Amino acid sequence: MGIRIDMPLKREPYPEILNRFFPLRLCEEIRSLSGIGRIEEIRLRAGGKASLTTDRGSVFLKTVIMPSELNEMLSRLCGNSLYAHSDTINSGYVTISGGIRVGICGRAALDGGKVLGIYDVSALNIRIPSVLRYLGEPVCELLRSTRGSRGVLIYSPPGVGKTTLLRSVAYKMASGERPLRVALIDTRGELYSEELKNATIDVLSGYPNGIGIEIAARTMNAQLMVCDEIGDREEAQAIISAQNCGVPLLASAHGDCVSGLLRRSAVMKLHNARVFGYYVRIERGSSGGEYKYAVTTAEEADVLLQNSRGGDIGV
Amino acid sequence: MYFYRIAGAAILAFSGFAGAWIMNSSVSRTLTQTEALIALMRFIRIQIECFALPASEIIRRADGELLSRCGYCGGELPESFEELFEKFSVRDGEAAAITQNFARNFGKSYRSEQLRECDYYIAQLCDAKQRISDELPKRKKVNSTLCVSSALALIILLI
Repeated sequence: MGIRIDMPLKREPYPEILNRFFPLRLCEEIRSLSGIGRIEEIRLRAGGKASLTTDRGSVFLKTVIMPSELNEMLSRLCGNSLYAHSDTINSGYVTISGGIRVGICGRAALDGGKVLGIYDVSALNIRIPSVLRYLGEPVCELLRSTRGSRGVLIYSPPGVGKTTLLRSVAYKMASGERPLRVALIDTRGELYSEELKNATIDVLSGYPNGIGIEIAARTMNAQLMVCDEIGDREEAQAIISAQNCGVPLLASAHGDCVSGLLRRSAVMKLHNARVFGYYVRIERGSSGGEYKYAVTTAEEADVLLQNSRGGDIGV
Repeated sequence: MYFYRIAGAAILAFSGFAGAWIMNSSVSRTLTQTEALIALMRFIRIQIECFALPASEIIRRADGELLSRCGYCGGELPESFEELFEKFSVRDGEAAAITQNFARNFGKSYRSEQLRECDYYIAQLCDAKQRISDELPKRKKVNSTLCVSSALALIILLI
């Protein structure tokens, strides 16, 4: 297993598009802040103070958002057409231009266990995508070392930065002197960012992972496929079927350690089919901007599985 | 002198008939506009039901000729129905109130509710159109009588 560290070289700006949706007082307060680092999330709560999540930690703001303002904000985020985003709202999110995903909490209206809609929005979590061009070189090296025969699975607990890393690696592999044809299977519309426009990246937006991978392999002639958050067994089976074309897959999954990761049936199915050659755990450094990687090969994972007695084995 | 009297009477008579024609055209245009508004709202409903398109996209796809019949005079298309219906300058007061309420509440519901809202406002507009259509012959008659009578009265008084 190896450990690598990436250091930040520059910061990303505050996305101006959000000024269209936020109350003026919130925009002014965020603009007035300095030295807080790169903003990764903006959290708004009905009747509560807004807060920011940056690469240096959380920052609480003085601005209080009223419940009616949150409902109005959701309406504007949906382009004053809530019905056009019913499917994603019922899954708890909305994606707006620029790959910005907005998580939604509220009161769910149910019918036979199925969510019909969300009313009385209680919180919005605006996640801001970024392409950090200093990130991901170790993962790129791993992908190149497999010579296209096997892929890489990135894992970590939620909120560490798997999606950001996937985006950065996709950009690196699709640009430079010998760019690959990269297909981005963007199921929830949060992988793509405007900054990826100048790279050789084809985006399949809204497709389930299995269908997107099949299309990318058979019709888009992709040389690398990238998808986020591997899901259930059915999805894993669809990925295996599509993977028979021999195009490597870069994907992510939630998990804290390799043995815990492989306890998930979907990941185990993919492991047994040798879809991934490497499992890479990522951690954020103390300053927040740096990433640490812990690499486990598929063969090492086999050994860990054999030796595991049910407890977690750390990196 | 006799010639000027004849000419004056002819001009007044012509004015009376022209006035009647203009007023009747205006009333007919009110009916045409209301019918066009109903057609537009049905188009909006179909776009929501079949494609779940957002408001800005529906407006972009609307037929230009249909928008003209609704009263749109050209220029850059707005992105919301509130702005679009403001540009129509709806002639009938009741139809104007219906379309304003529709536009103000548009986009705040999920799909099935939004479709039901469309149905509700379409039904209201249809009732308004029926009322205008029923009143049309009476109003045309009143306009014609008023204008022609006024012209004749002026002819008698002045000539």
